[in-house]
Amino acid sequence: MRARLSIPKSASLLLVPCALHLAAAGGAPEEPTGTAQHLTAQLVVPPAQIYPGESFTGGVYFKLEPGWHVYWSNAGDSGEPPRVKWTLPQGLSAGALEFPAPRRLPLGHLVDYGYEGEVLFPVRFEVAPSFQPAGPVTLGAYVHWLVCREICIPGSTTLSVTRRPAASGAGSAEDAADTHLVQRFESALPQPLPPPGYATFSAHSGAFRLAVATGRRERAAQFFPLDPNLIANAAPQRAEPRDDGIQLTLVQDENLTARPQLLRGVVEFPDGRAYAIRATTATPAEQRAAAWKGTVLGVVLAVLGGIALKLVLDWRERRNRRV
Amino acid sequence: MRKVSGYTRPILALCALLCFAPAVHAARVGDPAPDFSGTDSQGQPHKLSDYKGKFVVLEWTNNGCPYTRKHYTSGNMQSLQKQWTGKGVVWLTILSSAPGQQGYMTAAQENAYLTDEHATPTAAILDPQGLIGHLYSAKTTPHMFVIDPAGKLVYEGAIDDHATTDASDIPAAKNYVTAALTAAMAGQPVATGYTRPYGCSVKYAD
Repeated sequence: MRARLSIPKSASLLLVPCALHLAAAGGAPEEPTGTAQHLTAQLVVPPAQIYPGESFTGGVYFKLEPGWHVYWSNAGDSGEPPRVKWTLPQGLSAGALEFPAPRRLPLGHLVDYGYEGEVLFPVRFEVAPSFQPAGPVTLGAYVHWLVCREICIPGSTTLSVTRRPAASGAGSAEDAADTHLVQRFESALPQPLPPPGYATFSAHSGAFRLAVATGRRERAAQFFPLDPNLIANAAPQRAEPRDDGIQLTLVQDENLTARPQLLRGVVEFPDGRAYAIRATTATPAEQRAAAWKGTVLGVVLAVLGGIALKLVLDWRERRNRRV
Repeated sequence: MRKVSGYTRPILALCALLCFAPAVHAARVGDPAPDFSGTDSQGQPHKLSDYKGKFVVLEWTNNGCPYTRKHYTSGNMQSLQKQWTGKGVVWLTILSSAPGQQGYMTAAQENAYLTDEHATPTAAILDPQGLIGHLYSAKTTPHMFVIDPAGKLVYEGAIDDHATTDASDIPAAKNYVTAALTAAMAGQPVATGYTRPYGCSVKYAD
């Protein structure tokens, strides 16, 4: 009897202030950590003091119960990424949440993209040269998320930290644990391809061939599309090593009608390297280089591929009609 | 011919990829909507092809899912059902949750739920084996389909353009089902035929 599974309107009702204390100078209450259903959320701001003209990286950290996950910026077949609304003092601004390279999260016949265990979404903070508050300042974040296992539960909490202003960076200090935490996940952010790396793609009968050149032979890789509705998320990605990288065959989303100009996303390698790529349509010469050697064999393979595809499509149709 | 043998493995790999690729979208916008039959919570049989000549909306549901709840606690889904069935549209709510999974309902439970929620779809079809769900590759709850009187699928995807669980987003959202039905009923092409559906994954048996 799950007829009336009740889910609280906001998991913030369950929020337990873990580190509630009064900031020494200002008296403003701090709540850097919130515990909700299946996760703990934390606002991480490493600097102990904030001074004019500086920039620093903080983030929103999630510690998840085993088996539960939150989502990447493109959640895949279901789900949605976390969001933050900031309440910041004048002269302090926050950039967008940045997303470390995700994992594939298979769920039956669907595949989502996200994180299990723990994740920190780095955020870049900029402090204006005119930043000169009268006293301690509070950085507030209203954080909203969807946490899923077999089922999904939306949650939200309001987190805050208080920091003292300083005239300059002289003698500035950072919380070592927070700094380490931020750095650990900053290093998981997708990087630009190392020069002279490049990424190109071409479209062939229901598939994209994505060629990624990293400058070395790659045996396996996984592509995560930034834009939804381009590829069939659950379809396997066939990898072919190339001398300077790898080629992935990605099954197109069957509802795709217009050919995209760009294939944006993240390519992740088994050793943990992750690159942010913007693959452009390959030039014919590049396509030839990326494709099979030998035109005749290419044609033979195209015909065989076409026959195979036709057989599969017919099979699918027959199977679907049987229901 | 010996040179060709080196390509046997890639060919096999290609075949393997194609053969084992899951049928992600069995129903495609612009194509005929696959026919199906099912039994509703009142015990009545329904067959899609019996509704030729009418617009049909398919709504995948799971009443434990926060995205579904967004549209029921706000009354949004009920008002869509009322509005469009009032204009002759056949609205079929489909439950593909397997027994033991979130959103699985017996006929009696579903009838009580519909009464409690003042929901008035044409019928709520019980699909605990997920046959209709898999036929349409329904991914999420909600996941919406609009079929025209000729039996052609004219819209598939999200209910609206605010992919959240927050009911306060509904007033500002563009409802894709309303847009599709409005255009198609006026004899206009449906501007947005396909969107990424948003919601919880459908709780199939497998």
